[in-house]
Amino acid sequence: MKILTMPSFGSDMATGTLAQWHVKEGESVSKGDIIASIDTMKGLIDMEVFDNGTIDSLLAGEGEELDIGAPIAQLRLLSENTVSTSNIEKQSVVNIPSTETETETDIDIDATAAADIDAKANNVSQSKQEADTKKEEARTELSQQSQVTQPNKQLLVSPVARKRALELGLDWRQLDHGHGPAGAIILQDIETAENTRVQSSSQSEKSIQPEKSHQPIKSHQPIKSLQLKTVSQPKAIKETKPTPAEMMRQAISANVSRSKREIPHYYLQLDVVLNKALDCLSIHNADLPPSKRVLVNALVYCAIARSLTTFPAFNGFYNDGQYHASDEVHLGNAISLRTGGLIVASIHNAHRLGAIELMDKITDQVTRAREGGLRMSEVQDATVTVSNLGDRGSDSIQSIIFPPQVAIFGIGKPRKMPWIIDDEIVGATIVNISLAADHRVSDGHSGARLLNKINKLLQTPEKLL
Amino acid sequence: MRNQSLTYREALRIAIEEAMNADERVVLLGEDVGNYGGCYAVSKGLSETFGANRIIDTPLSESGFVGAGIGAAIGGMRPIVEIMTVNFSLLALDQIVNNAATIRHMSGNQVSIPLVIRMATGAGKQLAAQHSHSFENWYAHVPGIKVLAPATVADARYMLGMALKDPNPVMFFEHVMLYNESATTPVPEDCPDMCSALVRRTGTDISLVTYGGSLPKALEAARQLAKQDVSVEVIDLRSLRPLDTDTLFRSVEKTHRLLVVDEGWRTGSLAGELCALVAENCFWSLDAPPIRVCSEEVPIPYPKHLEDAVTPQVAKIVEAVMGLVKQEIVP
Amino acid sequence: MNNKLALQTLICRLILDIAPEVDIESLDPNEELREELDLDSIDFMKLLEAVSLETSITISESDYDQVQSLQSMVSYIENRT
Repeated sequence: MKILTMPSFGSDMATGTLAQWHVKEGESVSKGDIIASIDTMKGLIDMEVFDNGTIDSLLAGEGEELDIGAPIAQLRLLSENTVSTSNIEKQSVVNIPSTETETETDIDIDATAAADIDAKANNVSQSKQEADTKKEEARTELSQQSQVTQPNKQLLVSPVARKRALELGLDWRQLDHGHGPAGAIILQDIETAENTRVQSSSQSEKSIQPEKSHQPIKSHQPIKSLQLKTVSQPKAIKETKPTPAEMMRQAISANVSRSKREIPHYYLQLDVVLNKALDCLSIHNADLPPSKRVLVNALVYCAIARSLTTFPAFNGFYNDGQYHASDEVHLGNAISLRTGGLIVASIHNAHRLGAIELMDKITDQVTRAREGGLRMSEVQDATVTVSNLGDRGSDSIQSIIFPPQVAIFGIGKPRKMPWIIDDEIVGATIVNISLAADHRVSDGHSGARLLNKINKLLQTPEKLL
Repeated sequence: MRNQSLTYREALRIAIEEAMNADERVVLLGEDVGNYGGCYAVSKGLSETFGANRIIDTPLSESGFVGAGIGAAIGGMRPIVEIMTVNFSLLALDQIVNNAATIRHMSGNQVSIPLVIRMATGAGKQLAAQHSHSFENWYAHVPGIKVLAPATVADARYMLGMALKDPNPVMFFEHVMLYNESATTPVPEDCPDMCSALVRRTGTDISLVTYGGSLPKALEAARQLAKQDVSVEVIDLRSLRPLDTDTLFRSVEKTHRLLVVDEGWRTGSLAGELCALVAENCFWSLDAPPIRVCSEEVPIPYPKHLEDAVTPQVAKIVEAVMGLVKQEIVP
Repeated sequence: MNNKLALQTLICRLILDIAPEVDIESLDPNEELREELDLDSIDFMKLLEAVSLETSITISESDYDQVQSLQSMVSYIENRT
């Protein structure tokens, strides 16, 4: 049985709301099927399933807001014969920032690699800035509590507790004990967990006491407050829940800080003459309606994607001290959202697409990014990113690499300059293309060659269409 | 009259008297009901009032006089047959189960048996193994008859009249320990109908369901548990066949826990039937397994301390509830 | 002139379809649309497409510089209807 969890669509996202289920319990699904629409601060994103199987149970209700990593459904894989009792693997946590013992919190603006959707513990804490100190606290807490759950421990839960947990979108399996006979999880435990979740999400520093409202008994011994592996929250300046914009900013901040901290960047730039490209496009676009016109960005993206196929050191992922080049170029396009914030939508197999197709894809993605409907796979698996401030941006842009990628391009705004071409001063439209790359994986020499290759391709634009 | 009190026994007598005054077809027959005034003095004085034709002393033959009662009912009368105790009803089991319960069915609805059979039941008077049974569950098992267990003075007073109006055989169980119970003289509003269960005490933590002689014990247990912050809802079944499952399920949906107190032995008890019903219908609302407090699986002993040890008592009920609601301390 | 006003209202509505959160009321018709309303190239293209559908006037790429402001866009369209 596989537990499907609320996916991370970007480091700037700490929670998602399950807007709508597109499957029912018992329904068969195939790899790639869309099973739900998730409402994030970036709009509605479609969530796909990556295995063949049957939806065993839906653990979240429509309209439920859940933290990243919270279980939302159980999938019985095609390979499973019998329904096994769910493992209590600590891969995801119910609505409460759990402790983590490794640095695997991937808070990318373009999210984790699609390869291992369920492998990582996607525990997005409220503020990554304090992640290090929190980790220390967490480690000591864990060892003090010594509440390590055995994967196959028989956990008892009463029917009404189970039902209530379902209603609340909690996974009762994340409690490793309850207060019923033989440690069974009972209704009280679920309600306590819910109160804990509500309180902790408002960044309260107080230790959590169970709600007294439905306490049937005060026995001779006082009832200990339910410990649910709550990591003590760092002192919050605000007592109220941060806005999505604030959360996004915090996450972006965490992400770029990590990038700068861990990735030794080097920077290259090249001014590219776009005259030929623009001429080619104006001929192409002359009789076309606006929606069919190809923008020069599409040409540049195309050139970048194609060039990368011969420069694998700039297209892949660096994890755990190792670099894995990707065979495909999934070009991450940084799309700014009108209401603020950034989402990187990846154009799959960009190296195989012509500029016209790329243009269509970009337009489609930008629309869906802003209106909702981006697919999960599009926001998780970019192998390289292009940052482009548009034709009203700055002359050049030096970007920050999004880990675990190893390169990022910046496209400045096309600007008219006097230029020497064939020993003559002519007016030219110039665009500055920058490259920031991970020096652990590549060096300046290959970076420069890559930029030159891109330039070269842009001088024969017809071939790119 | 309202402020005066009435005993359970007196309530029954008044009920019988009232019924006999209202309808000349009503007669009372049983052992020692006439001259002696009834084994439990329920019919004391009635023979003087109504005469030997209507308060009939029968021979010592349960099968005989229950059969006569059935015959009289078929013949158009409205007999009340008093079997001294449920223990002796075993001698009339065939009459009850194979005749009273089946004749309407076997006659294709042509023949009615508007019969009320009253019996004393239960333990507590040191009457030992053969005279301390609780066989309400055996009768509640049989389609074709109704089974009532009035546990309050009000129910004793008014349910009998309702039973007499029923065109079908009705078994009326009077727990021996209730006869001396007294309460403020009831009014008809105190007894809403014949077949509903009533919530005698509302609560939120557990549904304590019982009938007959166990009701006072259940209420006392609830009082004691309230002092320990456990809120017990006490339900008096009143009618054992048919069972008012609506009231039962509604209560369990609310409290999420069930404890049935039943003086019968646990195995094959009516409590088992109630637990099964709740498990079938309220499973997803349960926060604990449905449990029962019943008599120990031994013939009911004669010595007082043993009789008490074997039958459900307040302390046992309290302990059972605590076991169910107590939250375990986790190390 | 009625036609001008109608066109202006139409274009404003189309802009709001693309960028619902902009303050269209305080837009200076003489200022560069894209700069004022933070419309990027794709937004702009969508706007032109919508204008084309509503007015049957297609603004060619070479004419982009004639439609930089709301005022100029209205004039451009009006002159061709």
